[in-house]
Amino acid sequence: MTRIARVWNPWQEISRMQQEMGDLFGLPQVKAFHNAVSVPVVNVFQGEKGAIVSAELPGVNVDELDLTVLGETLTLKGTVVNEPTDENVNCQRRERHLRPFERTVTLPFEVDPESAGAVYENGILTVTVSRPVHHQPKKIQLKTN
Amino acid sequence: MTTTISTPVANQTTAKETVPPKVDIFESPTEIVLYAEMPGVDESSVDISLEDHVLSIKGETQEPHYEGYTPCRIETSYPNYERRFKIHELIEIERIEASLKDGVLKVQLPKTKPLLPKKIVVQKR
Repeated sequence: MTRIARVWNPWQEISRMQQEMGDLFGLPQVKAFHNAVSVPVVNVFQGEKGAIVSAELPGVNVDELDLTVLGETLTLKGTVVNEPTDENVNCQRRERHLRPFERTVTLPFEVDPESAGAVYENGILTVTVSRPVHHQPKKIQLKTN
Repeated sequence: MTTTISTPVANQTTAKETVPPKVDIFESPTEIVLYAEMPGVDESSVDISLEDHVLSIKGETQEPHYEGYTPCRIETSYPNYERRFKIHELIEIERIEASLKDGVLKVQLPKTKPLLPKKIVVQKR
């Protein structure tokens, strides 16, 4: 049976509480609680041949997306595209995290960096990595006399 | 301070988790522009309506299934998105435009042109 780790993200909870409080009191604008680099949420899947990591990254500038695979870690870095505004535009509400993000994910096993591939679609980044060939499970045939 | 868009209406409860998307809202003299984060939503799954001065945006996601893979760390369940906003400005409904790019929904709401005062000249007979 596979154990699934549901990781509690305190920053996400604080942001959600802050948003709900802002909505409750009708605040025109909710400012970010912390100015640090934001941390995207991820899902990790593992299989016999490799692993898949998907991350929610809406509005990312793909050209500035930096993915690094080393041993058992995958690091995602980048920035969210900031919509241009001019002097005649007033900001009524700002809840999106328009700042750099970074996340280092521990993979379930060591992977082959050369095998890594990534697809960005509908604001979801999906990274696939493979186990090194010598780490992949191998079926052993029983020889009978 | 009076805002053009005010408190969203509460979300409906469905079997799949539905959360309000994070939004940025900008207002200029001619239009209101709303950006909503809806990762995992494609164009065919977006529903936008404006009725009785309430703008409603909805987006449904499909949870991906990876054949031969099992989850070992789950931080998001690909929720559906829904949020409503009270619009205090008069909007030209026919000219509303919406687009979806990289999981961010953009809705442009053009304001109706204000009625300018016009002097009426009384003509002599």
